Amino acid sequence: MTAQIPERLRYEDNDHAMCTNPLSDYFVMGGESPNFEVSCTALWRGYVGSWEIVADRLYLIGLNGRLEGGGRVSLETIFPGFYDRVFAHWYSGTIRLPQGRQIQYVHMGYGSTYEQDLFLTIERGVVTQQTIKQNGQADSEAPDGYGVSAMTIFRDKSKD
Amino acid sequence: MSYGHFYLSLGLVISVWMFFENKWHQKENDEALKKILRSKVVQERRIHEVLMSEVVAPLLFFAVGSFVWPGLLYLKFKEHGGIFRRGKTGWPDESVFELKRENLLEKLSVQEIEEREVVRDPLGAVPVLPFGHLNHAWKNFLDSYQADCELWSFSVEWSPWGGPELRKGYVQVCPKGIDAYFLTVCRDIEKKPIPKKLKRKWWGKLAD
Repeated sequence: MTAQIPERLRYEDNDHAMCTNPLSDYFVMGGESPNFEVSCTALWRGYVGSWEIVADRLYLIGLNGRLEGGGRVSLETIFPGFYDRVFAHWYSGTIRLPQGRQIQYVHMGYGSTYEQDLFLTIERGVVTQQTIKQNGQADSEAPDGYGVSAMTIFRDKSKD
Repeated sequence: MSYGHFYLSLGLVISVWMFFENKWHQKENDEALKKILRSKVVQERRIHEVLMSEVVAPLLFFAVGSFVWPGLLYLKFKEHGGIFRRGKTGWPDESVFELKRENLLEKLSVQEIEEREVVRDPLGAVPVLPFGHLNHAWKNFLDSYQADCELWSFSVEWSPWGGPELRKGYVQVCPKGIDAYFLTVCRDIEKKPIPKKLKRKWWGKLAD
């Protein structure tokens, strides 16, 4: 399995790579899931969500991806009537935001290690705790910020 | 025919049979794996790789197997419990989530649940309904609710393949037993440290 492209989170005026998929929980809990087209091995879930924390609440504010058989995915594809913002009340868990330079690259999931992790504990969509974990010091030449080193891109079926 | 010729001939027959029997099952597993990874990801092999795996390796196996076939039979017996049997290979079965009576917390009516589960948001980013964006899923859950059943809240720690989870929600308890459930919390929790005694047992089993 290839390292996965992260979700995006805007938190305290900064943009972060988010190595957690809160929308997956929505589908597990019975929310209707469209058939996302898988276009490359670095994005098995088929979409990238953009998230934001406002007043300690987690919101989904955008969705990028394609549906099998064509068509782009938007928030309204999954949440009809909510085109710009969705409160993620279904999500309880810990969000991981890796920060700093890369210590170790792992070509699987969100397995790579970075200098520190910012963890946000969420209870039913509301931030209840923030913790920082120091993972060590990276080489000075190590890449800064989350990255995926290689992937296989599938042929675009819609062009057949 | 001397005993030596008989031994080698029998060894050759057994080696050929074991090779193709193994190849057949390996192909089944490969196909299953390709389906999971989507076939396009699995790259085509180069000609020298094909020659090595399809010609050189089998010939070597037959040559060596003709001499050491009693050992091969022993290994096959040990692995699969019989010469003509084959233990299940491939992906292990995923354990199925099940609720037990001890996981139940409180008996509630539909009205009580819906009153406590209405979701509100100051930015209006959720429908003001029980379970908010999951209201449709809740209604689907109630569609299967029968008059002789009860609704209970539950909380349980469960350990699927990916790691332990805390699951909370509501479940239908019917005369025939625990039935459909609706999840409200599904979160990863930290693995409990394994006691030293248990660790020793595991190592013992692995070493066997």
